[in-house]
Amino acid sequence: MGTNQIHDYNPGIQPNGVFWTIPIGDGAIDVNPGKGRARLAAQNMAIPDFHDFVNSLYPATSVPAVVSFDVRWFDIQSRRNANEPDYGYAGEFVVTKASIEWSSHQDGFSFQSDPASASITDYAIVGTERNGVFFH
Amino acid sequence: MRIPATMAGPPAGHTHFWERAAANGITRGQFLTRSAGTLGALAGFSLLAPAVAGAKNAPSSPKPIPGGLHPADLGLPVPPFPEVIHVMAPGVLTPANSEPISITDFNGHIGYSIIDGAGTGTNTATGAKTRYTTNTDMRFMQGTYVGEDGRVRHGSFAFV
Repeated sequence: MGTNQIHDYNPGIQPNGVFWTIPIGDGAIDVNPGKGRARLAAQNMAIPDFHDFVNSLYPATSVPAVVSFDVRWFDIQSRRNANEPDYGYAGEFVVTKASIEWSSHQDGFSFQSDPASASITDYAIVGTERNGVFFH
Repeated sequence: MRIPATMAGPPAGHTHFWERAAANGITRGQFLTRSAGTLGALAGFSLLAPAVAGAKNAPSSPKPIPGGLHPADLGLPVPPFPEVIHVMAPGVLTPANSEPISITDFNGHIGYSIIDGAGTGTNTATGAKTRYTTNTDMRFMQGTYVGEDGRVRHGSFAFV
């Protein structure tokens, strides 16, 4: 595990172009947009390691890995109603803080993040949205 | 979920991977300006596996958002890289009012988070431990959507 080793865990790009997105059980998501709170959590999900971001954009080599994560949205910062015809969506959003605690395991390497309390939010929102045919 | 580097200092203030993508040529808001920059890792791509020919999504699969980012802006050749990757990164790479989710024809609850942090990696063969910085882009979508087959369905999705 030398300097500048990179890991990039994501489910890849689906054949129709859906990016880094996979079905998950309803119970993995708990959301209350009005209170600006939500949780996304999963244990031992098979998510490959593509090594780095650019490598993951191409049907690239990856190695099997398993990840667990617990993401939480909390602490309302502001509210924003959106109607964005240029982007084709509308919604009601709450800008929040967010935290994550996560881990990964693969052949030869394991990782454990610091506690959720050490998270640094760059940007986070939770809310309701409608796009595509539900926007028009 | 990304581990970009060993830790040279506290996690606060290190650039997120979307910001590094921007530094390599993807511009904020306008995605059609090709960067003159190239990535040194390109030479390795010839060793990568070929695209999965003929792969199809299940009929119930959601559909991608119509727009997105252009790998050509990263100096990546198209093909083999896709012309568009159907994702935006509001608030960090694309405008704060840009599309925060990855699927279209959707109506429901969503969450979007860009979080920096740190953690400890372990070489499981030697037991050696190393501190790393981390970036995560985690999102969810839960609600009604129109699948590839045109049927309206309920679903929950994680963007990891």
